Amino acid sequence: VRVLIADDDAAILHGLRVQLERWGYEPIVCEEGEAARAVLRAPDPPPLAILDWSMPGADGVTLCREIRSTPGLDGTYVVLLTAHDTRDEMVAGLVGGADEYITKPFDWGVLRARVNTGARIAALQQSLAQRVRELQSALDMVNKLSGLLPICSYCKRIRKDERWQQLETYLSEHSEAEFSHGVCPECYERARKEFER
Amino acid sequence: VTAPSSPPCDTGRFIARLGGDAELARQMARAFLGQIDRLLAAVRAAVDSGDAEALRRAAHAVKGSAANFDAAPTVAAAAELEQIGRSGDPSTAGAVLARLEAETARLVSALREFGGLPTCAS
Repeated sequence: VRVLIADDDAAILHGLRVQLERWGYEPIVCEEGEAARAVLRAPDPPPLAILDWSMPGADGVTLCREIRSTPGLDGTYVVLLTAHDTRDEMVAGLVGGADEYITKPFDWGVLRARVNTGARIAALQQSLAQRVRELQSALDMVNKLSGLLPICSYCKRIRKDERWQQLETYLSEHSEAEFSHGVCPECYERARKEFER
Repeated sequence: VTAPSSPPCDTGRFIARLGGDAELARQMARAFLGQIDRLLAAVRAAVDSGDAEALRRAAHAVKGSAANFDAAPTVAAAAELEQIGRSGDPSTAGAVLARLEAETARLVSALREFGGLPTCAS
């Protein structure tokens, strides 16, 4: 799992990079806010971000607000890391859209647990989004089948885009149905008589 | 207010918070030493120019950076300067700045020793 880390403190940034790799994550390292913003705006942004509140370029709270107001990015799990340690500041950080607020100095075991929570939630969100996409495409198929179908009264073929298609071909393309071919007793009788003639 | 005789930092606690990785702690101490002069210079420049907002930001950066190493005296002086910056009147900052510089010097020498660097006077 890729994790964006942005902090202008070289010591923290080094610690974050080493620890995240050790914990099995793939850190994307940024030394200031503009670089972090560029990572977030690039295609396929990371699902987790650990952002310092105070850094040059764009600060963590600003980035967090941008994340929350950008479709496609709004599911990013954001941990705000900061030496802003008053109650008002913590509330402001959380109201700004951070999922977690961790004050420096912090316990790295706690950070690890928070990051694991973030990864779990990000994965859940992704699988939910995938499920919604699957349901949507299933629904699209059902919609196609429930429309008005022009069918030939004699040969039972179906008109589609100026072409006449076998009924089973059409149904196979527009549903999950599959066909196994056989002959019913009445048709068998009729075919046998025709054959004997 | 922290007594001047209190230890400049608590590397034992720092290592414990890191989960016991003393080598990573030393690497982080060296990274801190590489940036502290620049951070402190920004605080001094803000005090000299009387720029309250710049002082708040620069002192905040020193506070956050020193907090990693459980450097209570440096953190306390930086927090005081941050508060002075927030108050909008940096005219009283001189004495606190002197204390921050003295505490940071003690911290730097302790972290140089911890990080395995020569502990020459800066």
